[in-house]
Amino acid sequence: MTGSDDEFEDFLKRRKPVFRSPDDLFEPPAELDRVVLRQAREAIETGRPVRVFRNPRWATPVALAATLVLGFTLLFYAGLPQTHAPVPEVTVQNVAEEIPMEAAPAVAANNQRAESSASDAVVVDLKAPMTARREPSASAAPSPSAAPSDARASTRSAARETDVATASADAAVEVPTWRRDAKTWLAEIERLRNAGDTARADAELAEYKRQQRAYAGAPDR
Amino acid sequence: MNAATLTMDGLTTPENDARFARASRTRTVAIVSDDEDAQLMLAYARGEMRAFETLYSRHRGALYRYLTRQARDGEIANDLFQEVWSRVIANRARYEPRAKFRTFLFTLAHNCFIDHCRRTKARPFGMGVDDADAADLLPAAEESQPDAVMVREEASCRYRAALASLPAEQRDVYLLHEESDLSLEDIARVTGVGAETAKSRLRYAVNKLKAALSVAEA
Repeated sequence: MTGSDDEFEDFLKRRKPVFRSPDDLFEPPAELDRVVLRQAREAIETGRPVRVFRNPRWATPVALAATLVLGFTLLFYAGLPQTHAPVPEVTVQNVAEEIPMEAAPAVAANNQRAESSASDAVVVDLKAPMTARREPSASAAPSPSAAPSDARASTRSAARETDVATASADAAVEVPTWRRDAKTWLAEIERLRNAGDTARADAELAEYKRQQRAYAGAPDR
Repeated sequence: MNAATLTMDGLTTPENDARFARASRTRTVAIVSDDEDAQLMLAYARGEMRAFETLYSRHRGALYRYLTRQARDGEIANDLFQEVWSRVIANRARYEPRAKFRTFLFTLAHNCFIDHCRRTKARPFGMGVDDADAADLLPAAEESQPDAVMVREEASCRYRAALASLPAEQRDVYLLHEESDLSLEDIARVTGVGAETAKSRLRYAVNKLKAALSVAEA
């Protein structure tokens, strides 16, 4: 048994071949080699990763939904009826811009008349009775000796003079001198009536009343 | 080398499943870094085709002979041979050199053969094929010279017949020893038995082969 044991140990250690002959060392067929090598080659050729950006799964449905919402919104607003354009406000500036250049000298002339009428009023006041004479300009302070009612009346009349001068400048219309003062205006109306020119007196009275109504609606200064 | 050094696909036997389940729990891993074949496999995993060609040329013959003598059918052996290399190729990315590449390869081959037997409902071991029929199923030598070839052919035929007459478990261990050049411990690992069991099976196989060939020569 020791001989067989030694022989087996040699067999285990591959020191001595026991049974196999060189003819038993057959090889696989060439076709099989080609198949295996082709498979190995294709595996590494297709296995190379291609860097592709992969959207998350939810990206496509969310993008589609957003596109649909945006599209419907645009269609909805495009289908709404057109609203009228708002009427632009009429402002003093807009009106002032419409004044033609030809009226500019007239405006300047009216401004000068307004300034001179203030001095005329002073001249007129000098000729008027003392109680109604003093009509200081709007910028001047009322005299402390004058009655309060007279002071208020004089202040209002001075304001009216300024407004009349301004309105005259804007309208570019020549204003008679008696219109610059309420008393003189009324006096002129009385004179026309007494002279028999009733129509003109009525017209002046109507104009007087119209301007008085406009001033009545104006804010206090 | 520890038992917990193999994590490979194709291990379908219940014994191997249990063994490697234990291995995964213990997780004692030894990396075999000096195995040249393992380095070639890693190179192939990186995309080097030449590494695979070298690896294939080294092991193609032994693997083919092992499968041929296990299956005892040329067509089946071809299919198994291709299947084994397919698994090697498919698992190249997951390959880790925890054991010799040859051990990995023949473990795949061993389990491919067992899977084939399960699919075909054939007993993997102890098929009891008649010796003469078994010898006919094996491929003949490729050289073709007159008388010398006949003599060698006869010897081969006797050898193959004796091999076919072995019990399947002993034949399996014997073929692994003859073809794979694995150590007894590696053979035990591949077949899922202990080293002493593998050694005992191998001893019985050798003795029976000697007896069969002696009778045949006589």
